[in-house]
Amino acid sequence: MSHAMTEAALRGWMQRLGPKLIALSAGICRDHHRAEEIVQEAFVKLWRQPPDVGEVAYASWLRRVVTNLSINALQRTKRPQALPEFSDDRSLSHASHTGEASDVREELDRVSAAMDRLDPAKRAILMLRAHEQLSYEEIAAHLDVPVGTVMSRLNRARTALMEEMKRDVREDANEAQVFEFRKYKQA
Amino acid sequence: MQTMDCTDIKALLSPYLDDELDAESRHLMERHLGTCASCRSFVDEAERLDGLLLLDAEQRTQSTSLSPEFIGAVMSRTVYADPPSRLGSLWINWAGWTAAAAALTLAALLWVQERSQPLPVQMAGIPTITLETPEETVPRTVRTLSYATGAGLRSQTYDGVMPIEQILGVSLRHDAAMMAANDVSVAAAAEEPVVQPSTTLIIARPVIAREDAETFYATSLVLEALADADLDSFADVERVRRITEFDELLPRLHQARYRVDAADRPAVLAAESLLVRVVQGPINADDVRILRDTVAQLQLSEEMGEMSLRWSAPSS
Repeated sequence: MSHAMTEAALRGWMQRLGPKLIALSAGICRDHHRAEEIVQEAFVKLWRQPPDVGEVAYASWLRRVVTNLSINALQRTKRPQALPEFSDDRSLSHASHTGEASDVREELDRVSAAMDRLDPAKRAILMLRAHEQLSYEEIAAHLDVPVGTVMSRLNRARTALMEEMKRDVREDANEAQVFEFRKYKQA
Repeated sequence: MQTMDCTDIKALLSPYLDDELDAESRHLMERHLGTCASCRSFVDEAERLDGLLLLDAEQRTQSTSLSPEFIGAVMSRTVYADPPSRLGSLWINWAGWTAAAAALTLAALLWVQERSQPLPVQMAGIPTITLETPEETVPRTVRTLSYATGAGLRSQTYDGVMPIEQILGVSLRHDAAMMAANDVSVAAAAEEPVVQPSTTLIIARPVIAREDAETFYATSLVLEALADADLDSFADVERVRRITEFDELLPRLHQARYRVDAADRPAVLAAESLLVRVVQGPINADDVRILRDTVAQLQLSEEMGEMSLRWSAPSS
């Protein structure tokens, strides 16, 4: 039996889709190292048993595999969802930014921290929409649920993320108050 | 006339933001948003968050790149997964002088051998041919070469000439993938040995792509720079490393190695070995000297230049 994929083709797929898939997986499982392993696994699957969907659909097949593996990886190991280094490493790497750029950076760090606290399924659906820019029908096909479910899940995920962001602001405000109070006491 | 209240707005937030609402619902929603400040600010906030998520996604993708280890890990579980499986990863992770020196010595040795004993048949442009040759004219097998370099299975099957037993002993799955990639077919790669063991099977090389000639030319320039490297600074070696990486010379040479005639292969291998050493580092002053002297002694730059001329006009 002949194999359907050549080494050159596999390399091509990795170069073209690898970085985007790693970013997608990392967005869901919040762990860059784990994300790389997951995407490697997906490419190994692609090689061993290329889906019977034709090459045009490989990208969406890989995305689906990566999404599922990323969600499952967290559920299987039951490790803490938010790995501190994932949100922190970016704030460190951009610590030198100033002015407007640093405002955006701060905002992005807050979004990232809020995403850390969401459950993986909510993160996954937000990533598929925001990161992959998939339509509702495509997301429905991906997750194997009706379009109506996508709509409500996405709504819940967005609202939850907004809540997390607000909580973040509230906690910041509390911390600031405590700090002011201590300063006052010391004075 | 229908209207919407604040609960409807919250329920339809996502389809509204994602432009998945029908025209009528959108119209109703916008009418409500025009009059309700609280819903307006809720939707604005969600929209801003969407923008941030998109920006975050873009930045993550841009800052993510594939490491050589990533590709190596996948290759060792796929292309090089059949025995000898470790060779694929060995090639990718290959570092240090021991391996480089061994391969280089072997390459130089084979090079000399090949050049003094040219292959009996001119293979250019012939897709597939079988012919009778006495056992003793069968060149030494490529098995040794591929094992020593960690290049994996491909060079066992895709060599100019080798005994039929070896072809049949190699996984047909790899044959098919490799041959499809290189537009090569083999008459005898059947389940049943249709050719007698005394027959030599020749897999002709496909017409060499022009890119290979360009690869050899680029390599010859890089090697020339290496041969002239200043011993008192690392600047020249660093420049060679950058050009090698920027031009992706290593993967290009790796690909070209399987396409050239067996006689040219050791030269490609030698160039690869040296450039792998440069790229992988770390390099000290002694290393610079060894690299410089090796390139000069083997006259690798000149050889690569000559090959580039030869391969750019394969018919001549």
